[in-house]
Amino acid sequence: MAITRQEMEHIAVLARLDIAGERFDRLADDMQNIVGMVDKLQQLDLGDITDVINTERKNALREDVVRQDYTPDELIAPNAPDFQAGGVAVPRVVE
Amino acid sequence: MKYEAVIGLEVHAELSTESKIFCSCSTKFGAPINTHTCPVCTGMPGALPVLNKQVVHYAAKMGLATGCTVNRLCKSDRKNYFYPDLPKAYQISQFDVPICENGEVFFYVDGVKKSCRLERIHFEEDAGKLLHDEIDGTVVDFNRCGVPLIEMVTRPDLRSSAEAKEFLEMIKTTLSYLDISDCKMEEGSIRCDINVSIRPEGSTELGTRVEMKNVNTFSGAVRAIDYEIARQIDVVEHGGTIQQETRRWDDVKLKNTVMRTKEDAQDYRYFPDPDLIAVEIDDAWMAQIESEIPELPISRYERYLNEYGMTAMEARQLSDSFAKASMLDEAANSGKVKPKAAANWILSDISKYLNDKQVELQDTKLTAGKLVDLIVLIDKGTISGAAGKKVLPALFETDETAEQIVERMGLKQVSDEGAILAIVQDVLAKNEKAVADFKAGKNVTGFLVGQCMKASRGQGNPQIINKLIAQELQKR
Amino acid sequence: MELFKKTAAELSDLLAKKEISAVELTKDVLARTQAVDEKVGGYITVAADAALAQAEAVDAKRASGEALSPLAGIPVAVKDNICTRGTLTTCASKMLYNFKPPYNATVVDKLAAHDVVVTGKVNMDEFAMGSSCENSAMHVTHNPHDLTRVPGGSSGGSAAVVAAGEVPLSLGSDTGGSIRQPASFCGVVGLKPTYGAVSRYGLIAFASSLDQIGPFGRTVEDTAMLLDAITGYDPMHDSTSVKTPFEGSVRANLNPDMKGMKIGLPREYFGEGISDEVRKAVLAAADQYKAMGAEVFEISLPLVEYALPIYYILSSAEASSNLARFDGVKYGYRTPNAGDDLIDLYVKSRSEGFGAEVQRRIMLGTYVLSSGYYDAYYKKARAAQRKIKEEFANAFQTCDMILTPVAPTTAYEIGSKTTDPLAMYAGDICTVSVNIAGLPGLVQPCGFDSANMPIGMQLIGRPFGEQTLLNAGLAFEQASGLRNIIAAL
Repeated sequence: MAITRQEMEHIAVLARLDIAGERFDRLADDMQNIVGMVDKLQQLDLGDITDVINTERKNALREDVVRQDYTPDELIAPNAPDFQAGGVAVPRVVE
Repeated sequence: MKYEAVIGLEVHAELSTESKIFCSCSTKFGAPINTHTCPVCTGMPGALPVLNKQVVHYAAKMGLATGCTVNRLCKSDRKNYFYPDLPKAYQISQFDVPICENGEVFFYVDGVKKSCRLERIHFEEDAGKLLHDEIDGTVVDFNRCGVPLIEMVTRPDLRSSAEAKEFLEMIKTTLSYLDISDCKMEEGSIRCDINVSIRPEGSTELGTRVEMKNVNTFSGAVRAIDYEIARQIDVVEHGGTIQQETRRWDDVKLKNTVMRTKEDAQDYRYFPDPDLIAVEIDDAWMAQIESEIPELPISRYERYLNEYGMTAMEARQLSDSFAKASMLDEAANSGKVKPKAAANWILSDISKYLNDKQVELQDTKLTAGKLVDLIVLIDKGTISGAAGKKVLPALFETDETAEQIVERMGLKQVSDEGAILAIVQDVLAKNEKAVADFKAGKNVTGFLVGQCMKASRGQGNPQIINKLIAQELQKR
Repeated sequence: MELFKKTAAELSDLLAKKEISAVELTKDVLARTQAVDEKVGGYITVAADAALAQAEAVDAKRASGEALSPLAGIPVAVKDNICTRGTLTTCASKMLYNFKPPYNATVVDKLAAHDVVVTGKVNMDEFAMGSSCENSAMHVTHNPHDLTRVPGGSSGGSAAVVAAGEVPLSLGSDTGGSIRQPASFCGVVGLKPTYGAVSRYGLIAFASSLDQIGPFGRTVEDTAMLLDAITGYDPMHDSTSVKTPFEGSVRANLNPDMKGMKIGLPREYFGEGISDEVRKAVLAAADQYKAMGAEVFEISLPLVEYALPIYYILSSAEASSNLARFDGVKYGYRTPNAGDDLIDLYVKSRSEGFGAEVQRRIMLGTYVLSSGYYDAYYKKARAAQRKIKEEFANAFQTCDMILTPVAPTTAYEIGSKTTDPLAMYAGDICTVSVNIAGLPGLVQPCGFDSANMPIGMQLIGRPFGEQTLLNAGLAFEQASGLRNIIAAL
């Protein structure tokens, strides 16, 4: 399947990546080639095999018990690019 | 032209588990910012989710209570989108194989039984909270991230805001019957998105639907639906067409505005979460869940109407509360009291007490057994009805039995005819005018009974007093 | 005494007998690192102070007579995508250039429980995407056997520091060959355990359903030692973790008897594209096994021709979602150029923070999951994965192990493949199926090519067949003498 410029742009929006200008040119050929490579899969006839739910293993479940091991100062603050008023800060979100 | 509205709901309810859905952080509401967090619920690199068993249990319970098929095998999927309140940039939810499917919820609207089908119930994690008032920008509080939710998606079976409201009330009542959600609207434990379309009355085709978000109360849902129906009719009547879009309800300005149109529809790229494995509910687990489902509100409501002869309002008031309905049924099942008598107590004095004290019945010491004892004491004439009301607060607040309280408070009714006769004779002797009035043909019984009750310090059996007064007056 | 030349097993003995101290040993390997790492470029972070402090603590414990793990005091380097509390964990990405995890990966806690001395964090391809270590945003790592060549990847640093004698053991991760291919390129032993055998908690995910942490060493016994320390069921933290039959006992049960062992040679792995020197060396190893009494015969695994498409679809799809959390909001790199716009903050942080290969994979992964393409790519790849698992399961009806090359060639020149992603991807052909099927794979040296670069061979086992693989590895090591190879630097 050839991938169109419009599709590339749509995917970049979904992935929050900037592919404007020369970035696009650099990526477009690579993407085309990679998609061409994975397209080989279309030659494989799988009959009616599907894998809706993988049931090799089931039920990795926890009991409903509370544990609190971290404070926000240890957990969030040290790595936050912008830590204010007890949490990470971002530009004002207009809902 | 006449129009019919077609309404579908997506109801989110927070489950009242102790810990979050994929980590051991507390779900308690109202904690200081980011204090209920860990690497998992803040989306730290390398952290992994482990599913809380209780979430599966609760979701399946709701499925059974709403007539759903519970899928014995289900899985978790990722819903991918970027937003600051979603630290992993995906929400773990369920996509093509939810835990429950194909249910139906019954409810009454103005005495008419209606139903709304449920397409599915799935479990998922809640997002965090964005705070806009703290700083110039926005601060993210991750405390709500990972609080377990169930999402209940209806078929477009509802036709009016009144139906939607009664449906939502029934969902809420059912959640509280099952004890799987706090149902605190003010804490956002139940929220809904609303899909509305209109069509000419009599048509069976579905119109273009508009989704409304940000509806946080049931009364808000009514206002939002009524507004949207009117808006759509207005658009169509003026020759316009309805656009498929998402609109945001503003319950202060009482109007909605466009949030996003069909063109910028999201592509969530759902796929099975590779960090989680299949969930299987085996026969033993299923049996356990089934055993925990009580008789449901609609069934109790109908029984109270049909078997106990209550009014719709009485039946509704009782069946709305699991604790009250259970108290009534237990009392009735004791066989010692008339159901109607127990119902009256619950609806009047008990409800008044709970309301005055702002407590929940299940948090008090009153039990069905204590209530039965109290009613029996009155029925046997051991105490008067008025004395019974005096006993009630102690039944709520102490571990004493009704008899112990009656004893302690000295409320035992005097039914000994000899003793009462003495009082009656004494009262008649002191009230010659009343006796004279009686002879002149006036009705003085009420006055004399009152005097006798007073003389017995409220403990005289009024029926016996009545009888003896009549008897004594005849003699004079 | 040049302690750095010794195997972990030998060092363990010396420590136990108190002939050397952990501090002495740590100083020795740190000196070696000081001497050679400028050339090799294996480390991103050398945690010298923490390592010495840990060594002192171990020595004190030993002095007090406490019973210790055989790994107590042994230096181990950790790949930079495994979270170490308070120590930089960058994934060799600008995106995490300053990230100090607030928690330890389960394997790191396990190392601590064994009183291992963690020497630092080693280089890799950015977010483990790559096969040469050239995709590191930090620096290039050089193959210690020829500094003009790549060490392989993505765990290139883990392999290089072991081959260079900078440390006897290291941890890597393997999503499509990221332990095995660099082990092969650097002439060391590397094991990709069965999926689920080692907890992934704290491993910064590339492709969750394929990622697995595993050990590197210079001998089979050393590798088994480290495997014993890191395996273990982790139900509180990793839903995909599994109880293994061999937890902690592989080294103790090593047995090099090959009589009656059935080894399959899949003809599709020896065909076109595999260099003659590699093919010959692996087939010579097969003969060696025959001589030791194993039954060696040809088998067929025809689906290998679909392995690369399946691998690149599944791994990129998962990566596109796993790497979405790197958005400039909570940790790591945030663009200074976003102004007051949130979308801008996302797009610029990600475009500036991720390297080209990572962005390619995110684009591919987003594409194969997007509406309209999901069924043709992702869903089909999942179904094909099932088929590949079946194919291996059938093969293991007739054989105990499968012997294959690791990569089409030995280590190539730095820069020779960086312009063509597909040429780079093609080098993964022999390794990706093992991840798709969730199987264990052992790589160890089986010879050298004409340029004197190590050639590796790969033994693939049944699920949880690690013991069988390491037994066979030990047998070959004893017969060939190809063990504890340290590059002359």
